[in-house]
Amino acid sequence: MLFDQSTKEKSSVFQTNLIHTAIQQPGFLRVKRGYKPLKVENLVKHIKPHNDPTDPYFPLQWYLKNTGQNGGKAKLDLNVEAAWAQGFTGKNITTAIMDDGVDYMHPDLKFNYNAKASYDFSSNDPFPYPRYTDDWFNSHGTRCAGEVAAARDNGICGVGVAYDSKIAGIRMLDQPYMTDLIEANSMGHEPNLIDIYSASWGPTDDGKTVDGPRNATMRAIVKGVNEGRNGLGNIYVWASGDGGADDDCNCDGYAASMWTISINSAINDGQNAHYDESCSSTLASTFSNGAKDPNTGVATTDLYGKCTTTHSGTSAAAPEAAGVFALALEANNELTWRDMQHLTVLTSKRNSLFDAKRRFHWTMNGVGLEFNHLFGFGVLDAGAIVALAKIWKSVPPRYHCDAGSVEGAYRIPSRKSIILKITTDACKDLSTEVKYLEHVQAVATINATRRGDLELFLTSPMGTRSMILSKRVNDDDSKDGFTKWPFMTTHTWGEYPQGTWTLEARFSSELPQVGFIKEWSLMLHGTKEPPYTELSVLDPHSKLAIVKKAHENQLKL
Amino acid sequence: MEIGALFLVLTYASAYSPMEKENNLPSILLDELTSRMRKESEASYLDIGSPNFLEARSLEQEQYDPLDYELGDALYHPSIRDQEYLKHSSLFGSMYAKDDSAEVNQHSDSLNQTPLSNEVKTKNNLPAYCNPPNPCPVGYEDQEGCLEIFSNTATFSRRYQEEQDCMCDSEHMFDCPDNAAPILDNSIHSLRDYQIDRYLQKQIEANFPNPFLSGERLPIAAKKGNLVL
Repeated sequence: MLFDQSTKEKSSVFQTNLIHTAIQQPGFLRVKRGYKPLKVENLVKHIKPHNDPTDPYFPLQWYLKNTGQNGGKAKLDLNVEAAWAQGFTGKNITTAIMDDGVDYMHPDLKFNYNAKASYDFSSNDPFPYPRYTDDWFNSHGTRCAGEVAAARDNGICGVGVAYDSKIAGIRMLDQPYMTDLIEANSMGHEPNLIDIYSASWGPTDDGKTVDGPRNATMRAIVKGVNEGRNGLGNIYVWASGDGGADDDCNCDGYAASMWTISINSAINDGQNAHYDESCSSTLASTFSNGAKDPNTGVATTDLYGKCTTTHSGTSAAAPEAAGVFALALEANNELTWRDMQHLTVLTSKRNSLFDAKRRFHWTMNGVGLEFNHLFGFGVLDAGAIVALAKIWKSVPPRYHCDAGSVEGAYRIPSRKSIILKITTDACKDLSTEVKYLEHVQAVATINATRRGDLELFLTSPMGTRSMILSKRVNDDDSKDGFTKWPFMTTHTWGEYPQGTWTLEARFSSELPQVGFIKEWSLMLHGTKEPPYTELSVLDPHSKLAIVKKAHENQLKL
Repeated sequence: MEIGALFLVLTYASAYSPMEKENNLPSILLDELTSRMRKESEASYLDIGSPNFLEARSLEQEQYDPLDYELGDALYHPSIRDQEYLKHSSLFGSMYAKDDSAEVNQHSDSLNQTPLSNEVKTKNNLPAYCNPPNPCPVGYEDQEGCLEIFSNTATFSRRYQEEQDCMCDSEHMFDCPDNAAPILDNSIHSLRDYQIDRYLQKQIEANFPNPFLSGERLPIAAKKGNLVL
């Protein structure tokens, strides 16, 4: 029952005997979520006064500080100044750039270069200096490196997200053919010296490839998360891909892996970039080029000691994320690879990100976390991730529950959907019980007369619907289909997995198509204990507060 | 015997639950541990002679005592918590099955820096481009195998690479010399520096053939962000 402040009304209420007690409800403020600008002052008490970096390209680095330059949206940025102001600049953290080499003689990079952790697999020596070509093609790694760790206030180019951190160069993209050995050795190179691996490559983004890590590489990744960083697990950051609306990054086994943090990009006014792929395995987003104004590329270091303003693609987005994670690791070097994913989920912001084509909306999952098929849980917020990292308590153990499977030959009709169901108790009373979700995998074997016309949706017991495969117009495969392919979703993060999961398959096609689901099995990954009980809530409007409250309420039931 | 069993339970508890909260430790946990321990000792878990089971293992260690992440080996692990398994990326299974035997032989030691035996090195080596120069990073000297005489320019790199007899990258070089025609570029001679020549020769001897360039050619490594301006 709600009253206004007038005592007159209150007293009148008691005139009827039916009312037992009445409590005066004070008015309070409700703030619209997601649009609330982060006030660092609320998180940390003693902030040193700070000035903008004096580097000449800093005013062009709108992704670090968006003042609305070149038609951008003011304050839509990585909020790095809030992290720097708390004293975190990436000290003692090393990010490896797995790419075409790094110009480690660049005056803006040379003192932040970790030579010990570097290697050149393309020519088998310890010095990953880029190979010359007439078109300066091999500038990519140098550009990515500058985004992470270009030095501050030295009068050269701009400044890195974590300008006191170190970068290692791993030259591995620059040979006529890729091999499993190169990938595996790159991803497993010096796992105790390297904290974060940043990758801006993967299977061809032609909209018809379905491929992922081969066996040695897969082994290296698993080993990295299990044993790297002296047992805390390496952080693998992946660019989700530049295949545009016609590709789906769930068909890229690197980006779709649970062990990589896959990053998409938004442009300077909050739209998705036209080259962005989308998929349910994307965890969060950062910024890249794509606005009409050509000066809205990513400003960073370039080959042979130069600077550029036109670094581009989701490959420019992944290193920004690596830089933000370096800041978080400086704030708390005990974070595990899973802690980093939890922190990303809890501190990324919806801000003003939106789908330019209005296909994908922001949706709230079963525990109150907002997600978007394009952007994951939103844009990284360096100030917030650092503040939460500082007080973070490592999440409880993770379990893997094989929740059941459906086998047979289920026909996907041409015009209608087929719906399969798995009802699960999420391994209740077994040693592998999962009560609070992290990743969910739908492992499926499917064939179709036209693979690219297939769409798949996975719906959780709490009603969260993830599009785990979207239409890919260029994929005309009719032979291979998918064989035990792990479609992953992050959208159900924090939800309770018990109940009925549904898989919906349908064709989006002008012509009649037919296909069969031969197998679908559901893998649940997460914790048995509520993940955030040990954490104190500093901000009652934060995502942490919302999820924690949801978990507490559920326990009372 | 009873004391021995209790000791095992205790070491088990301290080894496996570093993050377990104190107040959870009492009876329930102990019961669970005892029963699990019983199961695991049947699975001869205790026979495995690695004292540092839960600690991070170095790559060197892995060489002698490879840890298997396939779920089938879970029994030999102290606990399945906080451990990721290859099986959860079933790509592993399908790719593995497709591989030829040479690849299978390599995979067990593929994580070492110089893993390959000589016979693998010589056969099956994929083509490579020229080697870029290796300037000395801050704090390094030429004894460590890098170039001290160096200028960080396109011209220097171009000339350095022209000294080498290697495959031309026709995709990214404006003109590739005809294989038959002799190279007539004068710039080469201007760089005929004895030290660089000698360095180049040493470098190529030391690093060729590149052991990482063997195995199946993967249709991978599209460098993202080149066509999205």
